[in-house]
Amino acid sequence: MATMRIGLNAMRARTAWLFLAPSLVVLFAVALWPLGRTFLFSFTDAYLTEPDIYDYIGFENYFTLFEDPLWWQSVRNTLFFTVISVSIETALGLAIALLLNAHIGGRGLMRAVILIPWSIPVVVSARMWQWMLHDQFGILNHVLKLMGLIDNGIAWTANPDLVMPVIIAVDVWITTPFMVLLILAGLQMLPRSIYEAASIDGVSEWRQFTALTLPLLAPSIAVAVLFRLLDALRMFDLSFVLSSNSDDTKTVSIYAREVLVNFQDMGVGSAASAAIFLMIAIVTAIYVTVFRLNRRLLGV
Amino acid sequence: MSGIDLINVVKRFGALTIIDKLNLAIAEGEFVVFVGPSGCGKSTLLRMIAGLEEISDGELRIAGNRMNETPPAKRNIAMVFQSYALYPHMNVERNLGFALETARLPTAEIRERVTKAAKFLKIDHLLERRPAQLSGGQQQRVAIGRALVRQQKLFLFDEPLSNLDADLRMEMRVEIARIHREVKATTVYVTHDQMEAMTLADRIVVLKDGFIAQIGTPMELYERPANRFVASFIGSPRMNFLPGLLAREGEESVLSLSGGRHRLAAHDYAGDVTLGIRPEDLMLGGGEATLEAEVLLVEPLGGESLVHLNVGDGRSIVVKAQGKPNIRPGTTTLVGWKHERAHLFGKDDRALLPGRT
Repeated sequence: MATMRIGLNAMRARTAWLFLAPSLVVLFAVALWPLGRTFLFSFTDAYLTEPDIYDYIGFENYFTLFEDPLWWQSVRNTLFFTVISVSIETALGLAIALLLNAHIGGRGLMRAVILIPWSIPVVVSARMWQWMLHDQFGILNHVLKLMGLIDNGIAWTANPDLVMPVIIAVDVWITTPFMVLLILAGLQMLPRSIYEAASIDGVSEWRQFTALTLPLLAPSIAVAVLFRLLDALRMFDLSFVLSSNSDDTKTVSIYAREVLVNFQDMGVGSAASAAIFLMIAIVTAIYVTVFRLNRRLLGV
Repeated sequence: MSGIDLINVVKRFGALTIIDKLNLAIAEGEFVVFVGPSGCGKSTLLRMIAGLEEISDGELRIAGNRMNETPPAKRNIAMVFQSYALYPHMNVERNLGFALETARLPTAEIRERVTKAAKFLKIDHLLERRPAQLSGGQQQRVAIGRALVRQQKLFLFDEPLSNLDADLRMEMRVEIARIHREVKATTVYVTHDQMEAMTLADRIVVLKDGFIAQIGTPMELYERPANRFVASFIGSPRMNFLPGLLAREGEESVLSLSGGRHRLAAHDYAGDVTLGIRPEDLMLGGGEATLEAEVLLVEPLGGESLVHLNVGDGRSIVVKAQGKPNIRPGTTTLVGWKHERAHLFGKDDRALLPGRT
């Protein structure tokens, strides 16, 4: 009788698949299946009340979506929010990380303290800020009045010119610690001796920063920015809590939820979700490509 | 003029004194090696000269000028680090030229100096590479090149060879000696390897616990160690030590060891002593003074052998013998030495000389 021989590699591969199987099943159930369903529904006229009854209507939902000026406004809002908030957070994060990396007393405590805003759930911080920004009873207006800078309370979250800057400011408050943490981790990887060598070679502090620290830190900053970019592009909670119905701060995520839940329109809602997915994918792809090219050019 | 003067220099970290009132004068063009065990303060002393560590007390002068408050960049020094400290994101050419670029030298001159240094160090074929693409020895050459291009009068080396393997260490040792011969810069070199110190130095400064144990040329330290610490630190394998008693008997002194009595020239000192003899100064079979010993082990090294002997009381000594001596472990042999090759150390571990206390 011929015995069946299984090669060592084949056996290893089989064991590997066995261990991978549970996570693959979970991944399929919670990520691929819903994503596929969303794409599927975006080509139907389904309604949330009776999601089992639908017809395929081709790209009709996408035409509806792209003809809605409110959709384009939410795209503009989202991109504006993303670019401005991530830029400020990166600059501020870098500055604070450099400060915390310096050898000064009490920096251990500072590192812990700085993380507090990030550790609070966003909805809680948003509520907190809502109270602080309240036009009549908020502490911010109270302080400004005491200082004699204003006579009447400012409606921070109701004024269409102010609401987006306010949301960006609160987002900066919440997520700068995350940037600080990632950039600080990168900073601490940099060898001390190259700075000693540079100081002996007469390289000024500013040039040490621009010619050594920044290029060596670029990969850390890039990863941190990518994380924040993905997060900011699908921002929902902050805007929803602080200014739930304002068109001036409506993000694409809020738009999609509104169509899907408030209007019960599963077709257009799914089309909006699919469009958000594609938007994030494209932005990420562009970002990663540009960064790779940059790295090759800079030789980092 | 680029000599270095250290005058009553002190380094304290909090309540801990690392270096206490150290005095040292290094002449222009001299190659001085700081050597000592870990924690003796040799690297700290070098970093104080470089300006990377503050001087707690005392004065540092370079070319006669007080330097205590001068920032590193203004001390006109070049330094090579143990970790090489190359800029990881720049290629070799930029690593070499970065300091000159910063000093806004004309591009043509930067290119010329970089090319010259690269040729001199035989790294001219590596200019496009980045540090991560170089071997340890090549990285070390780049680090030395980076110091060379600045054409300073004072070179500082902080254990530059300790991350290299034995072969490369020897190669780079020869290279550093060549550079010093040709560039003639005043050089301060820190190492814990007495072999590097012996081969490179004009003068060696042996440091122990922040004090200078002895300063001298390599041969002075080898021939006339001032104390037991220097005696055991310089030389490999290290010096053998045997306890004894020194007594004055008329016009001569008598040294009593557990294996016999030996008449020596008159010493003023009397009392407990330690006899020190280097393995290469011991002879199997005879000598002016002899001890009986049991052979423990013979280690043939090729051209010579190390013979480990038991001389009683469980004390073992090592003899360096030519070739492979025809003796077996377990047998008894005579081991001898010439009195002029023996060192005597008093109770305070200071070297004793005839006619002196």
